[in-house]
Amino acid sequence: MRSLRFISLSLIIMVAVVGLLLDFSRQYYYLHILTLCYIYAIASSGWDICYGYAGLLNLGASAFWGMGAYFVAFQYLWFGITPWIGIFTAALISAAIGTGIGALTTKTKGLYFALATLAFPNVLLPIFTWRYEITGGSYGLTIPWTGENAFAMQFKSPTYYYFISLAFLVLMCFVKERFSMSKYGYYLRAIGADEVAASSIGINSFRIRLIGIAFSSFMLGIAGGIYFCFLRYVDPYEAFGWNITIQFVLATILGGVGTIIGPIVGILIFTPFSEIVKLYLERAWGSRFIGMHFVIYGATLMCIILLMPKGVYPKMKKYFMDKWCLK
Amino acid sequence: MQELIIQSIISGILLGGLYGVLATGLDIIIGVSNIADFAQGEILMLAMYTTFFLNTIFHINIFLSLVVVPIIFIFIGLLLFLGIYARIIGKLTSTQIMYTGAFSLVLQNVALVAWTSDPRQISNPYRMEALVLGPFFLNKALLIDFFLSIIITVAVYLFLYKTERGTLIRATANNPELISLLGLDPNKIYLQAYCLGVMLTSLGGALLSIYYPMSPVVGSFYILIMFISMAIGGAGSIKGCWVGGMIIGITQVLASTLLPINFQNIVFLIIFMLFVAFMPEGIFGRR
Repeated sequence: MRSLRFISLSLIIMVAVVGLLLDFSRQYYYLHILTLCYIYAIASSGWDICYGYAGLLNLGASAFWGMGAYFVAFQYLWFGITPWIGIFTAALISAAIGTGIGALTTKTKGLYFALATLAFPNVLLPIFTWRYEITGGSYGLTIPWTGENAFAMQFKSPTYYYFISLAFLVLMCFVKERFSMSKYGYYLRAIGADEVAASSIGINSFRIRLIGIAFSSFMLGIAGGIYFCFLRYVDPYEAFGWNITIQFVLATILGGVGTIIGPIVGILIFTPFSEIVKLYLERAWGSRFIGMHFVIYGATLMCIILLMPKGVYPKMKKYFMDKWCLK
Repeated sequence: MQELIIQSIISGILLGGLYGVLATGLDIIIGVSNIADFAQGEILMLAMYTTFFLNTIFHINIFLSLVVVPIIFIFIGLLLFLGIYARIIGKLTSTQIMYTGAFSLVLQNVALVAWTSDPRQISNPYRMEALVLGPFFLNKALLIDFFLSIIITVAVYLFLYKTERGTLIRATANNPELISLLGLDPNKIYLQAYCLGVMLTSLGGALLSIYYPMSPVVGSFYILIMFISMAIGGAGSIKGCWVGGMIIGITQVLASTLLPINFQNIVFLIIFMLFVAFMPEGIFGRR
């Protein structure tokens, strides 16, 4: 346990040093990509709580992510609440709505849960494009640039966002680790393995499921809020679109479900890869082939499900364990 | 105002018949083959494009293509099942959903690259004509679609309930283990049921393309309608699929006349979520 703590601490320091090095050498593009990676990693870890622990396939992850982004924007634009607090309140709102959805879908699992959660962002999308005065319509919302302003979380250099998102990632991973080692984590996994058996030994499956879904949507909301502060812009298709959910699903399955590190590994593989693919395809074949990266995503996901259903991380872990520990 | 509402309900019923056929195909695939297939929307899209190209390149009449398209798609279904779907039979539903969803992503974007996102439309005289019944108008294309979908559904009903093969398919839906006790291979029946479902979906696509324009992204919209009609009506019954399809068709058309244009699809999604909350087995479903 102590060595694990040591490893994770040294990893964090290493990642921070990488950020500083990138800042000194002015490689802002890589900083941008890595920041996006960390934000997506928070969201994927959140999605993983639903799928990897409770076995509930949440296809509406983008709804909670989008609400996190929108509510940060509303709070800042209407009430002047700083995003530093706004991110948490927005995530709480998104967790509350997630709990509502969880309560609605409590009788279902598998296919119908997936369908109901898939329907939810499609309900939100027209609502958020409806009134231009309130939600900015299809154009979305922007925060005006007010100069270097720590109160509004506006910085010129992407390095700040790099460290903010890194800090949030570390914080959320710590909370998730605590959660998964607490009794609720075990209950949630028990429900995911066999709901009937779990309730027969006295686990209140309704309550535990709600806690799981609420925590999951809380993390998705946090990620959405940081994403909004990072880009200072959100539009409904970016927020509630299907593409966002696919990224989280793919990265989590690729990395390894039901683990702390898995989704992060998945995102760190997936996001740079997808950026390269997009860049290369556009350069090589022009804009007509712009959808081709989705073909690659889809094919990758199918291959992972068939060939490596547990993901990359368990294999990596086993490899390194064999190499370093069991000589 | 009242006339407008009645007009919408009539159009909704005509549309609902089409959704009923689509949902029946999906219901057979889910109920018998046990595949939660999110790629059916793309099959539908491919069927629409096949009808379009048969019409424009080979000048095949739209009614003749109702015969040609299912035959083509039975073979496509055979290949798909053997190549793609046979590997995920018996796995967890969520695994199947992700697998087939990924497959639909592949199909959709290949179609997007091949045919671009411009909408296309089969030109035929029926789209623009209407049958006038007093104050109400019945679009001829939708009317033809409705009657053809009734005929198709009756044929499927007769196949499933009056023939030996159909009885075996229904028996497999009930209990696959007993089928292997009879000395039959359940995998073969899964294959047959899957091909039947793909055939129905492609027929639905051919019918839809008489009235609606097509683009590579229509699949992701119709797949929701197919699943939700099945879920509202109750999985495992043709009657349920039709009732679910009617409910969706009517609410969709009513919502588009009475509410702002954005809210066209929101109403049936909310109805579906209420069904999931309070009546997850659907109207005619068994638990």
